[in-house]
Amino acid sequence: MDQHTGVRSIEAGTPPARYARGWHCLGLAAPFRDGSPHGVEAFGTKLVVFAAEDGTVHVLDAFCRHMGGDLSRGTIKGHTIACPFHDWRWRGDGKCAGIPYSRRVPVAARTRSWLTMEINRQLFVWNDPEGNPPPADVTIPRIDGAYSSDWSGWTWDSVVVDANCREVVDNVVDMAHFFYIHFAFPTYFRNVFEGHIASQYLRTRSRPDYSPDDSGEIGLTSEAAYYGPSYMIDYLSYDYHGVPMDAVLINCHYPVTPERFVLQWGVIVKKLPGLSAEQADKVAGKFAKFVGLGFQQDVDIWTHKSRIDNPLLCADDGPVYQLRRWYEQFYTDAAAVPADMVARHEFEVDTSRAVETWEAEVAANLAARQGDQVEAGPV
Amino acid sequence: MRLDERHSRYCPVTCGACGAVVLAAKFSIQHTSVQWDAAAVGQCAEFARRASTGEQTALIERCEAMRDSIEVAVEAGLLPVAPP
Repeated sequence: MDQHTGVRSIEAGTPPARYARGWHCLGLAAPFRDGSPHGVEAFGTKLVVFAAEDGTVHVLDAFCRHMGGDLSRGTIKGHTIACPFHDWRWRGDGKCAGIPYSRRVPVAARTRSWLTMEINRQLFVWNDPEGNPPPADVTIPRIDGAYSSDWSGWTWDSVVVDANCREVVDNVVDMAHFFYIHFAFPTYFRNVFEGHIASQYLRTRSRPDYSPDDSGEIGLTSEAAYYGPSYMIDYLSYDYHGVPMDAVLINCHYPVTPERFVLQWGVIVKKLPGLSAEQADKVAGKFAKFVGLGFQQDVDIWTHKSRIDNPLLCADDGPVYQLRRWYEQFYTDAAAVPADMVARHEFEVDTSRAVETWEAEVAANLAARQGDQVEAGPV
Repeated sequence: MRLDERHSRYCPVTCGACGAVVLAAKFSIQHTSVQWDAAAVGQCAEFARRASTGEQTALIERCEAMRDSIEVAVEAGLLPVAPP
């Protein structure tokens, strides 16, 4: 605050130079097994993802340590990725397995290999600026529906966002934006942060004044949690034209640079009795499209807003500061994370005033629309 | 480290069921903010019971006994309900 004018100043701050410690989802695993290497720009560099002949998916730094060739433009040869520049062969563990035109491989011929994991039919890489492996309890939980024939397959979408990835994480505590950005009407909103997990318990009604795809959904219950800095599993149940539906939404991202990230989302839905696999996939696709519309609106906000380190909060906002304190653990050396950064914090937002205001706003919108229809109707 | 300017009045609340002590704040009747420390989480009987069946405490929405204890503290005037 300026002492003379009483004007609140924005402290924009600067994004951290390092990248968060944690498991980061790169996408569905199957497309990486198409026989070709894949380039992924992430963590301020470029990675190559390739499936060796035994099917194991490996992730290495993309730039060949010989002369800097881009391995993601090379060829998979047996258990190695071959550089397109001079055919140096790199194994999944980062060791150079051979240089066909030379008798010997230099002792220093070792590149960076990234720890990978596959779960929920998705591929993850472990990032740790300190170079340590993940502790046993820091993992990605299994989603049973991803392995069940009672559920649809995954939809998968992504968008590149020119902003620091803290913007998407902030959404965890942002009750009011669900009304203004996501066409939802929150009636219950609670957060719990503990250890490496940040949860959001949310109940919403749909907005009768705004239903972009006419999905007719009502009464949605959402239990969502970030497992580490970037991978959120959201268990959703809702009514679809009077039929109870269960869905799982993945909201995840990986950083490209401090000012850019790739946002990804995927959906599976539980099959309704009598639905074929194709029909279930269609339902999932429709739901993913609705989610995508919401994310597009988020992206529009993020790419135009200011970074803000000192948000000015009202009594009915969520725990932005406590969430950011929790998030900071992933940018802090593991041994230096203080106990109170990861201690349990619970915060339940008072939605009563918001519900009152929004009910009036929705009613006014509906009345205005009805007025338009009367005016436009036959005389 | 930036602090939430809204939290100037955290009050200790002791759980009537297990004696765990947390810091609580209430901006209104519906709002509640609860700060636990590791000792309190370790002492909570409900968390312990549910953790013993394989649940992670981070994924437990709340301890019902602690919620009741916070309500009792409000009724007894030990925990003020006031907007920041």
